[in-house]
Amino acid sequence: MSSSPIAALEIGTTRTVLAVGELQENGRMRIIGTAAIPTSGVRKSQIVDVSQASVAIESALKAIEQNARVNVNVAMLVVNGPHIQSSVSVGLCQLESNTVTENDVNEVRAKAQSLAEEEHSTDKREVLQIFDLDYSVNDRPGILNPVGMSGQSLQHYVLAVHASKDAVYDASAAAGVAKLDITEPVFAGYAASLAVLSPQEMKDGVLLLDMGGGSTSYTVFYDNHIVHTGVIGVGGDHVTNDVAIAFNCNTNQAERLKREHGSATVDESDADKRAELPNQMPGADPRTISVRALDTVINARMGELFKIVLQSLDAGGYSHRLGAGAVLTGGGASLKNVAQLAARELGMQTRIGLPVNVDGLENEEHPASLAAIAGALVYSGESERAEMHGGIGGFLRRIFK
Amino acid sequence: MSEMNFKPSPLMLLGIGGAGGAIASGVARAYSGAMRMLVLDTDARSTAGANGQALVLLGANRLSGHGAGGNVSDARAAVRNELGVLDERMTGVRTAVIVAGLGGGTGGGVAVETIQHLRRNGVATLLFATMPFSFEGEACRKRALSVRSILEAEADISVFVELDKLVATTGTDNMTEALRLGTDTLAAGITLLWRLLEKPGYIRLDPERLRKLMLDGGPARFATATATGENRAEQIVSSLKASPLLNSAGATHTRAMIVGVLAGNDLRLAEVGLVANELQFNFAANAELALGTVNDEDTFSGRLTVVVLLFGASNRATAKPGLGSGRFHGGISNGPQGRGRFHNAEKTIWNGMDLDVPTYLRQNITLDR
Repeated sequence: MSSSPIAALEIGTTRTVLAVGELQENGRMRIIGTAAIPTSGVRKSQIVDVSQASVAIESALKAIEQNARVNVNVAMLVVNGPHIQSSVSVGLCQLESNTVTENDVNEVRAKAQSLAEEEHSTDKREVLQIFDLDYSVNDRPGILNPVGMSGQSLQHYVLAVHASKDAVYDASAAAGVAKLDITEPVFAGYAASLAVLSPQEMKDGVLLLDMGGGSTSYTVFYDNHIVHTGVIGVGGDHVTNDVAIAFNCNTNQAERLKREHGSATVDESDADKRAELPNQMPGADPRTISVRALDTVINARMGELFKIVLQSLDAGGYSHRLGAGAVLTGGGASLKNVAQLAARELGMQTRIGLPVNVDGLENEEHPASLAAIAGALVYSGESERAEMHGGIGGFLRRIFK
Repeated sequence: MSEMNFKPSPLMLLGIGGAGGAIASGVARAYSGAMRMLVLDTDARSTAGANGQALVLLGANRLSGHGAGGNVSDARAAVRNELGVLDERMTGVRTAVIVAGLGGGTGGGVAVETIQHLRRNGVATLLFATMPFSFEGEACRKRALSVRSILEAEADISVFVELDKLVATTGTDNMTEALRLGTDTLAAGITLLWRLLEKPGYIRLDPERLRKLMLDGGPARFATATATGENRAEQIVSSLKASPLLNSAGATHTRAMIVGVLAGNDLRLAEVGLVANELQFNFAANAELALGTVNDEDTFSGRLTVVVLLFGASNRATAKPGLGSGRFHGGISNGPQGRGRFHNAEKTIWNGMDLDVPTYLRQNITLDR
């Protein structure tokens, strides 16, 4: 028997996605309905017009009602945008005996998490998630399970992902206008990783790049932990904007050029190839553009984005810990040859991240673009299971008619 | 008869924690003149107090004067509500130069709280923070990294000095010597900066000019070089061009550059021109150049010394409250016409670049349309 449905909402820069899933008996999440509606009122992943943003949410709710025959009143919110930051906090305990006990570990974890909350919950910021990192005993770092080890002091590192309170509030407000209550925000980069990464990749070290319309998040896993994450305020909209400026066309035409003819790599054999500008004015002379020039514009933007990511990884010392390479998700992952360019610029094996950790998206045309929303449902399902087993998932409420 | 009112300097040096206190004390010893300086520490055994420097002990209620035990969070919590004690001592200060060593608890933790406090009071902050030597271990580096991103976001200008790189130029492999050289080299550099700001020569670079350059925020790089002899200017340029401190990975754009030329009475105009032109060509072709000179025969007789501070542009997309306005107006001159649909949007700035401007335009890529 499946659980009752759970919903997640992602208000993206180019589209708003609502997804509904059920937790199956085998513990996997099954997506039973998705609705993707073009967004208005959102720029660079942040809402600039609550009223306009709510229109797409209302449409998505209606579409889900028709397609999946579910009325959704409550959803978890997928949050992305350059306002998201991450910081490491450290809890410290002096040991009563000279051996680390379970109680010591629980105490230092609680202390680290409490400090992270204290440091990053302000009148302008709120903590989205706190992730356990490693421990150090007497300044010996990199310890995953310190119980039974000898020492006098125990430290625990946690990574807090925090966001602009206003940005989260505005998204909740837009949902509220559409009569949808938000239960909990979840960071898009983390959510996407839950949908696409394997345990082995998380252990070996992997970079997940979730490339949205307004921003790109990067999340690094190593030794089964999230160790680093951040968001760059560049996404697919920038590619479209570059194309529109380069070829003097509107953004709809630029978007179609990008999707239908664009590539992240430049093929010299395309030197003479030309593409017709879509949706030209009636009566105007048909206009064509050079495909190589189009690809040059896209290649410059995407190459720069990967270089910025690499700089962020280098600054934290993570670029040489990624044995499993990079995984690309989000709408940007559907750009032709983007994995090839990423592999070259990042200097590591790269694949497109299909949401293989959920069921029900097998027939989607661009499943990688649904990784974050699918992962949010996985996260929600895991919290539900924890709740059922007396764990810590009590903060999730589901109110479906 | 008009009266000359004594006006205290608007510039103040704050050394934070053990390492920061040691560096600040080194500056105070080397600087021949009155300077406004304080050492902030959570450890009552701070050597700054013993050396006669003005020491402010913070967080004693929670830490009992024993230091923060390597815990940044504890240090922050302990001093958060005590920083009002600085206000009276800092009357008239408009720019604070803060020195801290990262890797322990006090340096990073107290620096964060202090910078936030100063910003609330309208004081611009220039942070010099040392990143630990690699031999100090992974745990130490992790503690440093845990606070670095916060400091980058909070300080107006932040210079993170990799001690490995700082000492690499000296060739030492002795641990004690490396620790001493790290402290002394940075102290010497900051002393030179102080001389440049407080004892100007023919070309004046005053603290207010520094403050104005700082208000746009962002990371910075800092290095000094000294040479003697006939080709001393050429030697300095070669040394700075090769300096690992100025050529760190990812430092691609410079929005402004401060060049200080310090010498005795033998300073030649051609030397100033050579240094300024070569450094601008190599590090900051399109950047604003702020040049200052110091003529001090007693200190620099026969020597030529150059101080360089390269200001990158902020990676932050939003302006900080409290100081100035319109701070993130970008380091390059791409007008609205280059930003297309983003012309009304808040800029996305990275290393001095407005990322909303198409990459192919910024990289001057010619399109065969």
